[in-house]
Amino acid sequence: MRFNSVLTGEYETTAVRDRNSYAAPYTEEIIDAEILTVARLRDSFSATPQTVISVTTSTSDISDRVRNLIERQQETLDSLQKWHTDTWSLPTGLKRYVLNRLTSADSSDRTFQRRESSVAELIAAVRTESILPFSKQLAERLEELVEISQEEFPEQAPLSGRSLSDFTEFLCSVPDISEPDVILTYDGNIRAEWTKSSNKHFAVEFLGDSQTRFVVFSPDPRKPHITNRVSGLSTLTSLLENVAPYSVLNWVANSSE
Amino acid sequence: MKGDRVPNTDHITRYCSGGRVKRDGSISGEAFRLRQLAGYTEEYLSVNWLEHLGKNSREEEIAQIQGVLAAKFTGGIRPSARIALLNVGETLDHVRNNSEDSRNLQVLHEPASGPPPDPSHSGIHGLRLEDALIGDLIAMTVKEVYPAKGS
Repeated sequence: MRFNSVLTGEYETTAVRDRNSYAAPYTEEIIDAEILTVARLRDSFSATPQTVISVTTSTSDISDRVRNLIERQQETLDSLQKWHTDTWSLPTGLKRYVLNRLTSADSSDRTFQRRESSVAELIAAVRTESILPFSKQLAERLEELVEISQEEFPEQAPLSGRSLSDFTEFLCSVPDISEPDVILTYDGNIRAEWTKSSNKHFAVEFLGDSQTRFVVFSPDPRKPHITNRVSGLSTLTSLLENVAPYSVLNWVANSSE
Repeated sequence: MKGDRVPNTDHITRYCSGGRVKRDGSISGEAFRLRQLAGYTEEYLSVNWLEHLGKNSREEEIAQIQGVLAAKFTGGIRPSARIALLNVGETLDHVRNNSEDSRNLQVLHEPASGPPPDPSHSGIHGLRLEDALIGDLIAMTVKEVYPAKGS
């Protein structure tokens, strides 16, 4: 997503925390907010921050002003690191800044861009490009969850772009899929739930990187008064295959039952 | 007293932040899962023991819990956050009878001296980090849901 921001030029900007991302115009205020967040986490000792600010420019050049802002943030993080205590320190593997120049050349770059898409961009795509009949309601719900995650940070991790990307991929892979209940895990992952009754329940947490954790409650095909229950981990691509024995599509797809 | 078992006939509430509340106001099983915090996993699921409050009505009990939550969440409670009410015996039985390992959860009194003091604070013990299925089983025993933010 490119912002014609208050800064000079056109920039793709993403504030990233704990491998999750959300889009925000990259302004001095945003950077100051990030600095305050890191400082607050340090003071509260309540979490291990992995605050990353990445700036991806759409051209090879970035303005001096953006560069100055980044350097200022770098200095702040450096000083925070110097304030190391026994109870708090920046993670050693912390990736502080990423400056990537986007090229619009081959498919691998496009894949990279897709994987790194901001949450706002993904939600916009759900609203405008999705073939899902409930795309508008879903986009509204996702925006609501983004808002919740921002308000409840740091107890609540920001909505994960990777999780959201896998979630939308899954929705588009199931013909005539019905609208799920969508909630956020504490880690910022999307969890989709299709619950028709106490014995017809299918829940999937999209862990990102094409991994899922699922739960199924389903009537036994031979003894319907008995409920089969199963949970497990699956790749995104094999998820439907793994839950097929439990006939989840009977209540996940609109056209069934 | 700390470590006392909360009787099966009694009731507990669980604070459910907005992210775990569905659009229709019902509670996802995700609200009943342990969290991985900075470097450690929660030992138990925090709840409040309503009968311990010694109030005369459910409304008074919920108002008291809302007050405790307001004191804990100094940044404010989001309007979408909810309090889920469970009956101890029903929840423990449901999990025991329907989990693959016949899990015996326990609800134990875990009073917190604060700040803020939380004398009815209790914990559901026996959960593991990966217990998504048990979280969903617990969610299906929620009896009532209240706003976490008092009026």
